[in-house]
Amino acid sequence: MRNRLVRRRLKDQSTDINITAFMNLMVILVPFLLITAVFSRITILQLNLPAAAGPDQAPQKPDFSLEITVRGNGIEVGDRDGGLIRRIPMTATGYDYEQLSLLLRQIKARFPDKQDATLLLEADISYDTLVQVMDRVRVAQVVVAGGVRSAELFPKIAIGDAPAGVKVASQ
Amino acid sequence: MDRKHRRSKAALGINLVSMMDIFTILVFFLLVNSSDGELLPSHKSVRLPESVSEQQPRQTVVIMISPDNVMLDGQVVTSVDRLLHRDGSTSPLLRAALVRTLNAARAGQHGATPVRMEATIMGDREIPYQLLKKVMATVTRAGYQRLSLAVLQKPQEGG
Repeated sequence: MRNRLVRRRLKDQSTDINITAFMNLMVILVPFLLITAVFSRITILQLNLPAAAGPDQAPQKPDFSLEITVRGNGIEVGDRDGGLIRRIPMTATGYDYEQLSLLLRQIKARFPDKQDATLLLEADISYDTLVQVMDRVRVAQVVVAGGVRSAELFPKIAIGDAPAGVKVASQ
Repeated sequence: MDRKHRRSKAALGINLVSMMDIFTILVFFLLVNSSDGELLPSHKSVRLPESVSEQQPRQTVVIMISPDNVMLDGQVVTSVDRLLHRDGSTSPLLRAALVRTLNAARAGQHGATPVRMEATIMGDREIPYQLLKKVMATVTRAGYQRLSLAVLQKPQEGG
C-alpha cells in the first residue's frame, strides 16, 4: 500500500513539467513582437527619371502616345497628336476610376504592345488622386473565373503638367 | 484535513495550457509577420495613399512630405508653405540637403561600381501635385536617378 502511494506520487511529478521559464520567455516575446509588428505594408511605385544633364534618348516617333490628363473637373484620355479620345466627368463621389479603367482596357486591346503612357496633372490635384490614377493606368483588375486577377496595361508612366487647356463645359 | 489540503493545492496550480497555446501561436505568427522588417520609417502626420502596387521598398533616402513640413531622413528641411509660395521649380534648401546626402554616400562608397542614388518620397495623400512636382524636380536636379513613391498596400479584395 505504501509502496503504491510512493509510486503514484512519483508518476504525478514526472508529468508535471516546469514551464515557468518558457512562460517568462513568452511573456517577454509577445509584447516585444507586438510592438515591432508591421500591420500596414508599405510598397513603392517606381518612377524612372531622365538624367538631369544627360541627353535625352532620341524619341522614336510613336504612332500613338497615350495621354491621361487629370483636371479638377474630370479625367481626359487622349492621343497626343490625335486629340481627345474621351472625357470622363466626375461623379458625385469623385473621379470615375471604373470608367477610366474600362476605357484604358479597351485602348490596351487595340494597342497590345503599348507600354507607356503620359499622366498630366493640374497643379492642385491631390497626391492621392495621382496614385489612384497611376494604379488604374498601370494595371487593371479583371475578374477571371470568379477571381480577381490584375492585368498589366501601361506600366511605364511619365508624369507632367497639364496644359492650361480649355475648360470643357459639362456635357 | 487531507481534503482541505488537496483543494488548496488545486487552486494554486492554474491551468496554463490554453494560455500557452495562444502564446505559442501568437509568437510564431508575429515572428513570421515581422520577418520582412520595416525599411521605411512611418510618421503619424503622413497618411500615405493606398495602391495595389506590390513592389518592395528598398533602403533609400527618404523624403517625407507631411501637410506642414518637408523632411529628409527624419529631419525637417523646409516648410510646405514656404515651398508652395516660392517662385521657381525647385527648392534650394532641399536641394542642398539632398546633395549633401549624395556626397556623403559617394564619400563612404567603396569599390568601382558607381552609386546609383535612389530616393523615396513618402507624401501625405492630401498634398497638391504642385508641391510634389517641386520636390520631384529638386530630387532630379540634385542628381538622383531613381525616384519611388511610397504607398500603402491595399488589402486584396475577393480572390
